[in-house]
Amino acid sequence: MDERARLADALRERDEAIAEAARLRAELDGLRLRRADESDPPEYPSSAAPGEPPPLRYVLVDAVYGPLKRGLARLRRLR
Amino acid sequence: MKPVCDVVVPVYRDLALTRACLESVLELSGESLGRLYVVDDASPEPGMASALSALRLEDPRVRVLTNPRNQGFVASANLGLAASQADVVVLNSDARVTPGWLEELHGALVGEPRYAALSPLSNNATMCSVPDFGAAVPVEALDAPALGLAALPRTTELPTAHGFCLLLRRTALRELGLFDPAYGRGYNEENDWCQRARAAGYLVGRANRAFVYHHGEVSFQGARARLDVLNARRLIARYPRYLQDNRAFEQSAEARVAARFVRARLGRLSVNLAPGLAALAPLVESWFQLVAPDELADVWAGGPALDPRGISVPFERRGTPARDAQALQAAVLAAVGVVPVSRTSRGRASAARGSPSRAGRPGGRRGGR
Repeated sequence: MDERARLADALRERDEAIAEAARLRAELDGLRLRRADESDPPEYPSSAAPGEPPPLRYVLVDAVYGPLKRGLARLRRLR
Repeated sequence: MKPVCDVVVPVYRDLALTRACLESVLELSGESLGRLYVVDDASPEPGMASALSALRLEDPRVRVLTNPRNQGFVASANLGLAASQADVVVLNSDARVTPGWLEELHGALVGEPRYAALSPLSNNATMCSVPDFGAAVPVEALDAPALGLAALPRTTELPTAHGFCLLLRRTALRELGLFDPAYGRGYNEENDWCQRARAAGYLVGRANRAFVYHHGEVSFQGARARLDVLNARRLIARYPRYLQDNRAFEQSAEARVAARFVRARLGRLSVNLAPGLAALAPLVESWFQLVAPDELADVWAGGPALDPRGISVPFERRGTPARDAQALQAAVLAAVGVVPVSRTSRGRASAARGSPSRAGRPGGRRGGR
């Protein structure tokens, strides 16, 4: 194999490595964009059935998750 | 050390145009060019792969990234954008750059940190089109170096830039991400990116002193209309003000600053009427149709090149005796029954009578940054 062909092969391999790394970066970026584009998840249910008191575990989760979700939405809007 | 800028060119069809594009980039970009990333989107053209390999061997700035199967413009552009680490231009393979294009385009970006994206002027690039704003003229119709674009304001803010040649700031890319793959094989992904940038507080604009030729419609050919409609729906759903912003800009004075300047350089007339004289526009047009149908570029009212006294006719007729121009001008005025006039010559305004007016100066700073 002459020198020119060896050089061509080396350059091709270099560019394949660059492309592979870039492909991973682009995929990660796509995932990030898709996540940002998702609509908010539906509201967490706060009662088991009409007229029934909400289960304690729902009340607890709401107390933590509700403010957190509102705060995250505000943060996202700020970006 | 001078900041450098990479160029990404996704390639698919038309070997001759692609070769002309890549060679022009390598030849005319000077020291501003860092790397040229050519993304071969599994081109069906015989000879494309070998031509790109040969180019890589000849020039150390060239990187050839190959998609194993055809993935469309968005994925190909994103591959190049992700490979680059610098400010980067996404350039269509049917474009041909001109001397000093990258130095000026990138210089405008470096000089104004608020810009996230810039497109150059072109013969075929909607809001960046000259001499006809929003319309295309053939590549052969313009001799870019002779246009004297240095007299224009360096940049004009736009609601969106043009994807045929789009310079993106690296820091904005890191912050906002690449083109959205939701736009599939292409069209409107650049508009989406520009709206994301504007929402994040950046500006998007036109670099009026850089020029790149654009043939148009090589990669997508007939599929353009369908892709355009589907992706436009997505874009407008995301950014409901998009069309409204575009319309507002198109009606603004600064939109046509570059187009009018180039028309004037080409020797065609742009007649600007005061708002009160807008009704005379059809009369002026009819008069020109009768006596000099090829001379008139457009008639408009209330723009920046306005002489408050009445009518201004900014123009330059290269290679034509001045007395012809004056006679033509006098005849226009006589036809519409308006006496006061200012006339521009070589981009500088001078009053024909009365106080000097800066109106009618296509090379003015209006709208620029």
